[in-house]
Amino acid sequence: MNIVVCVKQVPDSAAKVVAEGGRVTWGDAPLVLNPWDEFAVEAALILQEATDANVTVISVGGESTKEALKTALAMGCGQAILISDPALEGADSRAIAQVLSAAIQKIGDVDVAFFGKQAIDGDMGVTAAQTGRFLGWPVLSLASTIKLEGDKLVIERSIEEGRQIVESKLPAVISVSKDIGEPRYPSFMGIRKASRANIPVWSLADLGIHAPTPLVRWPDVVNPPAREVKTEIITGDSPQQIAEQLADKIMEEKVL
Amino acid sequence: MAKLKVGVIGGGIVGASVGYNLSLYDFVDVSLFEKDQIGSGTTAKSAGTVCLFDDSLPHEFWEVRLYGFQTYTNMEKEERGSAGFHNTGTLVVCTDEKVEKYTRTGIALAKAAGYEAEYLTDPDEIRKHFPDINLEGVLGAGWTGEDGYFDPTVAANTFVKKMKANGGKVYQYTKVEKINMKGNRVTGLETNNSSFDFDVIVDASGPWTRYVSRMVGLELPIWHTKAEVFFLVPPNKKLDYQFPTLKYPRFYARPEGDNIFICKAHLTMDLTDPMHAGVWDPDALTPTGGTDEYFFEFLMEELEHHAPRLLNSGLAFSWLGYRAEPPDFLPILGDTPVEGYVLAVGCGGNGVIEAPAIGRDIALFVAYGEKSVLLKRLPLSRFEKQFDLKAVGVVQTPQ
Ligand SMILES: Cc1cc2nc3c(=O)[nH]c(=O)nc-3n(C[C@H](O)[C@H](O)[C@H](O)COP(=O)(O)OP(=O)(O)OC[C@H]3O[C@@H](n4cnc5c(N)ncnc54)[C@H](O)[C@@H]3O)c2cc1C
Ligand SMILES: Cc1cc2nc3c(=O)[nH]c(=O)nc-3n(C[C@H](O)[C@H](O)[C@H](O)COP(=O)(O)OP(=O)(O)OC[C@H]3O[C@@H](n4cnc5c(N)ncnc54)[C@H](O)[C@@H]3O)c2cc1C
Repeated sequence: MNIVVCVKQVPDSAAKVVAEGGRVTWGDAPLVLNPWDEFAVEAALILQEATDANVTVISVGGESTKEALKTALAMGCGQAILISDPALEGADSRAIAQVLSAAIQKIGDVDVAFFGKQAIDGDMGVTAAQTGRFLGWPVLSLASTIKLEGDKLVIERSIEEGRQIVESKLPAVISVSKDIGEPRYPSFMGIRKASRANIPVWSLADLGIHAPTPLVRWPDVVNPPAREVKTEIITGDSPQQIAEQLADKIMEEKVL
Repeated sequence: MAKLKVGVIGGGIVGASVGYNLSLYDFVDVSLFEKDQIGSGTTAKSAGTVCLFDDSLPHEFWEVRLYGFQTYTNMEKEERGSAGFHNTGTLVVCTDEKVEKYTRTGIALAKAAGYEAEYLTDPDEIRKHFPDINLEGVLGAGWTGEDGYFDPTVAANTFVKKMKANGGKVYQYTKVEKINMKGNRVTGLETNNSSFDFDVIVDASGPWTRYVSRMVGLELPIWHTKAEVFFLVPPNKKLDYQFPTLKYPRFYARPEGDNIFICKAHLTMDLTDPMHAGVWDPDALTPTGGTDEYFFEFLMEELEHHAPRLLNSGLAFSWLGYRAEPPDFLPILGDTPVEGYVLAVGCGGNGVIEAPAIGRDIALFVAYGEKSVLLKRLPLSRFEKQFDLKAVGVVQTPQ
């Protein structure tokens, strides 16, 4: 069985986002493996342990993206491939999906492609579905458990009213929710393997495709308006007096 | 009679113990200054193992070790949790004859003090305490069942609570910025918000002492060594046995919840190797992270050899602390060429074990001028010939 996990490298969640003139920057925030994609890697590794499958982690990005791929390798993925090409500058999610589907086809004989729920920078949450469409595969979203039963894949989805069991034929695209369980930490062996890994880089030419034309544009991006916060420190002679004043204020402001 | 006014700089486990012990003398008026919170420095990053024996401290200091263990266990008996005791037992694995000899003596000492202790040579017995052990090259192992590790931050706060109950004053978030002198004698100190008069000042500033001592014109022969820690998540997220406090000659480990706290033994650090030691800025340390590639490689090699299954552990997080290490890896205690400036520093990798005895003996010295065996053995003067203690700001080679 062959499994692919698609991951994105994103700025650390603690990074401060600045939008200026429609351009988004994160300063020199450290780049990390998209936190939602850690769950996708975890799901792939759970399925790998149950089936002895091959797990390949892939990403579309620049040279620095190798670091995110190494995190996935250190967690236990078997191999990694970076897809990088200057022509992908300004790509939209459809373009990324087209590239990912070409890469999945080039890897060959893939049974399942895992995705995260969304990328914490772009936040579109559409890449899994779009990739499924290019591949012509069923897309099962937000899986919280995954099992292989014969030639069927059975997943559970946590929904508000309870749980939904969904089955599908292979191959399939699956996006993973955090209910799959805490992603494992990179192990000693994994870190050593990852630090020595030579990650191949595929260009669009290697995939045999031209740069997809982006259809969606982001003409403007702005930060939310700054909120005005007033801070007042309540003082008094006794805890009781302070508490009374605080209670009055809370009533006054209609917090309660 | 006017009370003897004493200021203690530093609220780590050492300063807290010194402060508490001084508060036991009713003619001493003691104040403790801590620039952050009590027990938030090196003490907060410590493994806190206080074993009935291991090879970290020569048997010459057996009384120091025993007094330390008994102080914390009594604290714990008085109020459960007040020393953060975890009774895991300790397994000291002997991989060479020197350690074996040391361990056999340690076992005898622990037994003589009334504790259960044994030297194990039966592989099954050793494996019972540490099922993941690779027994190749292992001569035997010492086992003491009644000890384990403490939480030194909790213990420091308990010392301080008792000190306050005895009338001692504690100033947190108060940084000592200047030590006032008249001629060659200390007269008091200035903090970030006030000034105080003192007859005696005890420096218990741990790795910061390199800078604090410069305030009185001394350059102490103390180096910072890296104390790097990994927190391992065992294979399958939980071990199916009680992980012991585990001591090997080159590394040691203990449980931390379901995880494993693992670090490099302080005696393996080479003060002349810039990767191991230097004079650094303890304020620049971050709460987590900061470990080096070499530490990863070191642990990888040790585990490969001694407990290969644990190599499949996940690395949850890491941290880095600085041990304050004199060239002989033993503390510097007592008087100095500056009158009224007393040292309780240089505790390196054993400060938790040593703090109770250091507090007891420093207080006795400050109160009555009496020097215990410990203070006589570990004075600053032992380094006078080797280092120029007055060459402030000059970092000399730690040979
Ligand atoms: C500064 C900036 C400007 C942008 N401008 C535009 C624009 O003008 N028009 C536009 O349409 N988009 C724009 N984007 C969005 C960008 O192209 C997105 O990366 C892309 O649309 C994917 O959407 P997403 O990142 O929200 O991923 P989501 O759809 O939220 O991601 C879902 C999952 O898909 C997978 N995935 C996502 N990206 C990758 C990848 N690169 N490699 C492998 N797997 C991946 C991961 O598993 C991820 O969890 C811009 C982004 C930035 C940072
Ligand atoms: C990873 C690690 C593992 C260890 N394991 C063990 C072990 O298993 N067993 C053991 O016995 N020991 C162990 N040690 C060693 C032990 O933790 C230390 O020796 C001990 O904590 C030192 O205590 P201290 O009070 O001297 O220093 P610190 O805890 O560093 O206290 C010094 C205090 O002084 C304060 N200070 C500094 N300058 C000023 C100033 N100008 N004004 C006011 N306050 C100031 C600081 O904020 C700090 O809180 C370990 C250490 C580390 C890092």
